[in-house]
Amino acid sequence: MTQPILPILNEEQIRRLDTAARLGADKVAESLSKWLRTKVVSNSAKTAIVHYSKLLELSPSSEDLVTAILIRVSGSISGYMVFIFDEMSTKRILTKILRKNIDSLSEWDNLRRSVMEETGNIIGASFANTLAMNLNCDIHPSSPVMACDFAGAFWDTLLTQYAIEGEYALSCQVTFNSPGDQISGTFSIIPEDLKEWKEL
Amino acid sequence: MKKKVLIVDDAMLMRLMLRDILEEHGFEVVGEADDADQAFELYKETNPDLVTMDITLTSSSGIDAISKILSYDSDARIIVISALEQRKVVMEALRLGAKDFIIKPFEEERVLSSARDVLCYS
Amino acid sequence: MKIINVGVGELSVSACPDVLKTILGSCVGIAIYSPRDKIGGLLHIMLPRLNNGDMNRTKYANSGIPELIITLEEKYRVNRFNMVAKIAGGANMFSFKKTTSPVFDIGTNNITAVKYCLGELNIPIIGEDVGSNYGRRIEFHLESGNMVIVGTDKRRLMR
Repeated sequence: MTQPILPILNEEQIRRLDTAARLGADKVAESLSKWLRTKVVSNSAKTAIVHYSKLLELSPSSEDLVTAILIRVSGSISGYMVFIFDEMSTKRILTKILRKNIDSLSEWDNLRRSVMEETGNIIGASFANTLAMNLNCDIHPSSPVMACDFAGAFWDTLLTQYAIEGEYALSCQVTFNSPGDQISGTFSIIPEDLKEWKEL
Repeated sequence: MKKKVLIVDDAMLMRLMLRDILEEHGFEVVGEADDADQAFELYKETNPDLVTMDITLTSSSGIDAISKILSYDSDARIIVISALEQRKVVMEALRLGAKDFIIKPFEEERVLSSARDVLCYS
Repeated sequence: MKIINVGVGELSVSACPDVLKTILGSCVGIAIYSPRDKIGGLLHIMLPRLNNGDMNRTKYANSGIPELIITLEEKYRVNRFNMVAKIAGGANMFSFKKTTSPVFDIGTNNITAVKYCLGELNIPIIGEDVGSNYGRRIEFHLESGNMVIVGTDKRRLMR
């Protein structure tokens, strides 16, 4: 039985990232509040090195329909940001931005896709801006892409992207919600190379 | 005479929102582009009074578009409207000659007052 | 009749009348089955090739598929000549825009690796529903050998 490879970041580094992530989460909540014209708060931001099997536990219920928005990140660190909204939240966001009642996700035209992608763009940039400022680095988010499908299908895809150093991954998860409006979401950072994070 | 605007953003929603705001307040949107090359071509073709420019475009960068347009026409008036607020990016855009930098999500009034200011100080 | 959920990077083997199920994005689900014995297994692979040092062999096509076959042969006494395969998954979940990152095209690489491995081991693929850009919920029925595939807006039966 081989020894598990020790996590590549030390306590101090994780603490720094965690602080930056929390500030990023607050900024995201602020931007979303403006964008959606409703009060959004960030309820938790957690950065940790986890055993890859733990990532499976973090995944939402497999057969639920969710919207995932993906942004590639480059610069001082590389990887992905993924935002996930459940079915109800997606409908609420579409309704708020398009100013008409959206109660079904069976049709996705270019405009609706654009609403979710631009929402992702705003979240991603807010978070990246804060991280960049706090960690004194450059983070360039790319243009977002979205898809609406089974939660399990996304997690299955995303798990393969986690930079697994041995069996550990850097997990950075933020959850936020708008109490009055039933909008909630999570976002995760998927680093491509943990060594880059060590340099920050 | 209505002032002519070219909108550059790769998000259809954004182009729609900006078009609505600008047209409602007396501007004429003469073109919409979603990448740097298209932005430059449309600029030459339509000769707008004002350009709104996003930074994060699908396969190009608004910074390139700003650079190209201003090299072609040093009097071009470009307002950046982007979700990116990183110091380096803002500095670069302004250094190249963009007149203002608005952060998304924006207030309608911020866009309008910026457009009016930029067009007045010619 | 048990419904057995196969997780990401896992393998399960059972017999009629059980049902093996999983959800696939870019991963590929490989059902290997003996119609004569009504015994089979479902393997959910994430990546094409085994990384050095990774103890979890069922995550990878090139190590997981032999593992499934050997398990069927040695533990369940299924003759390799009676085995057939059905495969599903390998989607590129975000391929809507022209410029998706090629990294997320792991689905296509998985499909290629799976077909190659099954070919090398002489297991015929008698049904496939792979690629494109949507997630699949699959159920492999050991009674009939059918694979039921459900997408968010469609349902298919692979006999």
